[in-house]
Formats: sequence, C-alpha cells, structure tokens
Amino acid sequence: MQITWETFKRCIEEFQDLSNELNDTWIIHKPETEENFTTYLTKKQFITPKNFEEESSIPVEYHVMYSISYGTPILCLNSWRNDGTLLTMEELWKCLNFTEDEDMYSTLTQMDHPILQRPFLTLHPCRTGEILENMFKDSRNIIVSWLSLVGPIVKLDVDLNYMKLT
Amino acid sequence: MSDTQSPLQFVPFSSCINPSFWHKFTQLKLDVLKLDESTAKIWGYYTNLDSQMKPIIEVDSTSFNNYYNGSKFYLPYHGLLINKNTIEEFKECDKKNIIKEAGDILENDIKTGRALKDPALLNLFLILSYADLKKYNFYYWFAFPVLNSIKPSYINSYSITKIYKEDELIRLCKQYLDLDVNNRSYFLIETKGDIQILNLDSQICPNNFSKNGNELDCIIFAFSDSTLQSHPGWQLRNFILLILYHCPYLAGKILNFISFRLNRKGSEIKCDNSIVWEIKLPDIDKIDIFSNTNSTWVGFEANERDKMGPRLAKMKDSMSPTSLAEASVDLNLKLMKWRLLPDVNLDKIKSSKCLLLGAGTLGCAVARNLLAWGVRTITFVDNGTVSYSNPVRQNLFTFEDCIGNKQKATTAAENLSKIFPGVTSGGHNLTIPMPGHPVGESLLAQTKEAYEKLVKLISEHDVIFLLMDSRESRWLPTLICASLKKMTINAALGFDTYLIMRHGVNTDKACEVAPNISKHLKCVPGNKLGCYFCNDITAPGDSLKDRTLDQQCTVTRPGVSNIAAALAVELAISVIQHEQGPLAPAFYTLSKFEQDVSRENECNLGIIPHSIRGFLSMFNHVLPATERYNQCIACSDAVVKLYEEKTFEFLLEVFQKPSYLEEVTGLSKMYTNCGELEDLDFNEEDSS
Ligand SMILES: [Zn+2]
Repeated sequence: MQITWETFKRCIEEFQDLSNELNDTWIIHKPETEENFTTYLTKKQFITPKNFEEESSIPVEYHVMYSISYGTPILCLNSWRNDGTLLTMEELWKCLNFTEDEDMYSTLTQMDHPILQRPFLTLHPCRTGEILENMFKDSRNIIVSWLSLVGPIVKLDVDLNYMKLT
Repeated sequence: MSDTQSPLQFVPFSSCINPSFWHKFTQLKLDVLKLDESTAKIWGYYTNLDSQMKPIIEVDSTSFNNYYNGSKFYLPYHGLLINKNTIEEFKECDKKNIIKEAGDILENDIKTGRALKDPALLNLFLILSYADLKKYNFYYWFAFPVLNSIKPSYINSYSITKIYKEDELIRLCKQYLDLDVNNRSYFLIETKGDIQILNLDSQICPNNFSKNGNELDCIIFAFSDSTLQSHPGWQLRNFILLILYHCPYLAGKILNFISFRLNRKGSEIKCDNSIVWEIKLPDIDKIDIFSNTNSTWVGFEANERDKMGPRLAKMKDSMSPTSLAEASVDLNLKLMKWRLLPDVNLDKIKSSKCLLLGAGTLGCAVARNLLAWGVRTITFVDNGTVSYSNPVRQNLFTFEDCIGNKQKATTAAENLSKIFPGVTSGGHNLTIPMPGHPVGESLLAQTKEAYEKLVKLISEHDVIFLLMDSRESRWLPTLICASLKKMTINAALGFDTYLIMRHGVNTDKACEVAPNISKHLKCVPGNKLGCYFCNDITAPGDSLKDRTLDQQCTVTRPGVSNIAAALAVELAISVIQHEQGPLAPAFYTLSKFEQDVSRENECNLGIIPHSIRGFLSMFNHVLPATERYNQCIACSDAVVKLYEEKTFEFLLEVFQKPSYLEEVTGLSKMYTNCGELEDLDFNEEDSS
C-alpha cells in the first residue's frame, strides 16, 4: 500500500503537534521553499548501549521521511561520537543489539538521505508497503501506527499517547 | 550541619559535535569565511532534562545561526569560534591569552550588569580550531572559561523534595517552563509567601551596595544544570562570580543554591530531581575578584586521552565524496555477500591487482566489471590512440577523447578514475614485442625497454588479462606469465564467437582432484591446463572466412565484446574465490547428454571451467578443458626453460625468426604464413 505525499505531510504535522503537547521532542523540518517531499520529522535522543566500549551514552538522530520511489514513509538514523565522526553501520548495529544471525543488511542498511544527500542507516523500505497494507489500512494516522511498530527495532519508542491519533 | 568544609567540586562539560556542524563549518569556510581569522559567534546547546553522567555542550549546523533557535528543553551557550588557517598557528597560538580574552568578555558582561539582565551571557565557551579541508581533518579544542581563584566550600546537599511540597514543585516547574529561554539558565526562587521564580535583575541591582543582605534571605539562587547527584555543574562557577561581584556582602556567607534539573515522567515534565546545595562562598573582596594576581581564566577541555590537548575529528569517511563512493561500492558487494554468498571473500577480490593488456573494447569492459566487483587496482597497457570509431564500442572513451588523439591506456585509466575515484588506475603506452616482427638496430633499445617494462608490470600484478586484438601479441605475455606463474585470463573475439580461458599455472604442487569422476567426466588439474597457444594447435579452422577470431581486422557483433569481457571477469573472480586459485581443477563433460557437470571442487560461485567458447549465432556456450601441449610454443617446458635461461636474447631470436620456436619445440607447423595470421576460429561441433 502506498500513501500520498499529502497524507504523509498531514500525519507528520499531527504527530509533531501532539509531540509538543506531550513534551516530546520531535521536530518538523520544512525547507523555506516548502517544496513537495522535503518536509521531514526528526528526533534526537541519547542511548546507552550495553556493548559499546567507547562512550557511556551516544546521540542517535532519527529521521522520518517520505520515499518517493516506494510511496511510503522511511525511517533512518545516524549516530556519532562526540567529535562528530559517524558510527559505522556495523558499530551502530552493535549499539542496537543486532546479532549476526539477523538479516541486518536487508533490514537496516546504509542509504543516502533523500533530502540531505548524506549516508544514513535506513530501515529498508521494501516491505513497508506490505506492512501498511496488512496492518494499518484503517489507521487515521498511519505514520504513528507504522512508527510504533518499527521504531522499537532501532530503540525508538513511541509513547502510547500517540495512539489516539490513529 | 557538617563542620568539615571541603572545596566544592564542579563537573566540567564535555563537548559533543553533531556531524552537521563540520558540514556547515566547511561550507562557511569555503564560501564565506575563507581566510578570515576573526572570531565568529556561534551557539552551543545544553539541556537540563534527564540527567547525564557527563553534562554535554552540543554544537550543530544551527550553531552558526545569527539568532538562537535551540530545540525544546535546550538552553543557549554563547560560543566563540576562533579558527586558525594553518596547523602551525593552531599549535603555536597562546592558549592562555585566548581563554583570557573570552574571560574579559565575561568580566565585562558581569561588571556592566548585562549578565543580570541576560543571564545566559554567563554561559560562554570557545572553540579553537584548524580545518584541514583537503583531508577533512578538524583539529579543535573547547574551553569553558572560569576563574580559578573562586573556591567555594561544600557544606551539604539534599533533594529539592526536602524543602518543597509536591504542589509547590509543580508550580515551580510550570513557572520555569514559562520563562524566557535566556532567563532559564540562572534565576531566583522566592520562598516568601507563594513560591515564585524571579529574574535576577528584579532583586539584584548592578553595583548596588545599599541592598541589604536581609532582603535576600528568602531568595534561593537557582541554575539549570544536569549532571551527577553528588556535584553541581560547571555553570555554578560563573554564577558565584556574578553574585560575589554584585552582592559583595554575601562573601564568606553560607548560601543555598538549587541545581534545577528536569525529568520526564510519561508526558509530564517534573523538577523533583533538582538538588539543593549548601555552599559557603569564598571570603573575597569585590575589588580583588578580577584583579587578583592569582586569578587566571581556565577551563580548556581535556581530550579523549584525558590529557590537556586538542582533539582531532577525522571526517573523511562521512564528508569526502571519494570515501562515500568507496563505502557505497563496498556496501553493494557486502549486500551480495550477506544475502546470497556468505562465503565470498571480498577482501581477496579487492586486493587483487589486475593488469589489462589491451584497452580496446575488451579492456574497457573488463575494467568496468572489475570495478563493480570491488577491484581497486587496475592497470592498462595499450599502444593505440583513441579514434573516432572507438567511443561507441569502447565504453571508457568519449568523443572528446578522439579529438586530442589521446593515448588509449592513459585515457582509459583517467576515465576509470572519473567513474570511481577510489580506484588506483594507471596507463602505460607500450607496444608489446611480437614474434615475426624483426627488431632492427634502431628499435633494439626500445624493444628491450618495452620487454622489461612488461615483465615489471606483470610481476607487480596478480591477475593478467590478455585482451589484445591479435594472436601474435599474446605470445610474449603468455610466456612471461607462464614463467612467473601468474594467473592469466585470455579473451579473444570472432565475428559472433568468443573464447575466454584461464591459462594453466605450471607448478610442482600436487593438485587435489575429486576422486569420484564419472565415466563421462574428464578432469584436468589446474597445473596441467593448457594455454591459448596449446589450444591453438588443436583448434580446427573454420570454413567461413568471415568468422575469423582474434585478428586485428576482425569485425565483431557489438555485443560480443561485452559478453566476453563479462565472462572473463566472472571467470577471474571464480578463480580468485576458489581455495586453490588458478590450480583449481577444470571439469568437462565428454557426453553431450550429460548436462550435470560435476559440482565437486567448485568454489562458492560455482564450477570453474578451463575455457568458455561462445557462439552468438546459436546463443550457446561450451566449456572445453584441454591439457598443456608439450610442444606448445608459449607454455611448454622447453620454451619456458629456454626463455628463463637466455631471456631477451631468446626473445630477440623469436622476434627475428618465429620458426626458431619450431626448432625449440620440435614443432614444424607454427607459422605457415608470416604475413597473414592463421585462421583460428572453431565451431561448436568440434569443441567438445
Ligand atoms: Zn600452451
């Protein structure tokens, strides 16, 4: 199932409004030109990985964007050391407690951020359409529904209060 | 109340740089700042929500904005970016002076009372930096200036919940969140009557000596920090400085301070993690605060090794387009490994150095396929220039390359690097000496040089591709490769036929061969396999004169070279992947009905044939394998031995008089016709 850009935009705007109410820290990014497909939602949080030796806690930034080619939302993330160098894909997997047995390359792989054109670890969008179709066809806010399901894979928990949007 | 007074200790900040900070900084440096070394004003951010072990100051791309635009729950830190244009200036600049200059700004903001109106001015940091934009290396050093002479003592500390009731805390928290962001870092809490938050300048007048200490009795000094329960944050140091300066009557007194810390409970923000500190201010005279000779501005951040020194951020991997391209290419191959070929050894492929003899249709296409497999070292040898007919078939050239009559080898290498800058590619304009091309006095030195260069190139590479357009030019490289025991892949084209083969590598090493071979299967171990010239002898001629193979004038169907090049690369990769490498045995079937070529002794990519012969007219392949011919003019023991003994002297004789090879091998029918090359084509009926 694909969603339109307009649906995506409405959903993330609702999401951000509720985030403000809930004192959550999602931020919506709109370029000055307000071009289509360039509005996206981000959130930064610090996670404390158990098995990452270098630092006690590391920043992780999550981006929710619209994929023109898949017609679905995509979730990507990046994490960095305090000098600004990015964690490699393998390091980030480790921080997220992925194990070798899981099909990491198919699930979470490095792709270019469609708006920033920089590499981000991306939750592979090829099955998103299927998930939306099978599980959230009737949701009023499909972004909330989808993010609540896939977010926890990458340590991004969506507060239950958001469910009232669905 | 404890009577043991220990010096109060503060938790210093740790810097945390968002990668977007370096991206923005680079952009500004290139487009706006250029060589301007004047100090730039930037923003840093910190939060008092959800305590961290290490309190951090963050900077990101928005740090360069003119106006503060921090995220929710973040507070501003005023920053000074002092960038040096050379590493020497960065190393040699006077750090004490730099931090003092920042301190002077603080001193001024305190003395003038500006910091009372706009308390966020007490939050000041600096970054001393040097950006090596060619290498994407950023040297930097953060400092959070404080005066080292201000030494308060710790008396006691406890949770805010001990002094305020729950409803008071809720009220306090709400008032706090309503404050303007510049007033959140430092403020006052009035405890007289209804608890309420007050701005600093409502109670403290600049330089107002007349204010009576009693008036501040019901006032608690509060500041936003976020760190350990046992210590206050760094911010408190400049806050105390401000208080000592504007309320000198408090010097030496015991005062309550509150570390105002937020925490999230579901969707609610609370302040019950806040801590009350009982602190004895130093007994210092106002006049002495800034002018005391013992007062120095300190606060440089220790580096990752806990030493006082700058840090280095190596941003190449995420900023250099070349590195990004390399990572993407590698990732693509890793995906293949992960999804389909878990055993494939990509490093082995990546580190294989490939020499391409010939930069024509085959050479160009082979190079591109090698790139796609992640090969990083590709060298071309050719003696031609790019002509107008080339670009449409030879996919590394463009029309522009024809105009300058550019050399093929070097142009192919240049263009390959344009396609993928991560490749190490070189081109050598070299004519390979050939049998039957007599070398006169004038060409002797040149020929010797060419020969020596070829030997050097072959010995420096791991896989040698023979991709020339004539049979004679393959002879010398075949011989050198046989002598040096190099992995050699040969590709030759006819009009709609092609031959790809790997040459045998003649080692004494015993080759393991699968024990159970069916009666329909024959197997040749890798060290017994023949070369292009061994097969040559046995290859029957074709009746169709147009279908010639491997002659300079050969006209080919356009797709043939792409197919052959692709097969040549895939064959090479399979050989590289096989645990025995070029010694991997080749299997082939004797019966046309036996489709089932042995799957034994195959590598992770499948079986490894000796040769692949393709017929585009039938769209089919056959996979014959042949043993080394003991009278081969290129790879037989007799020829190799003589070459190794006499080297160039032997070669010269062959160049002068190809029939010399007949004498060596006892072969009589080598060159029937010197001017016209033998017709080497074959057809599928004869090939099994
Ligand atoms: Zn041979």
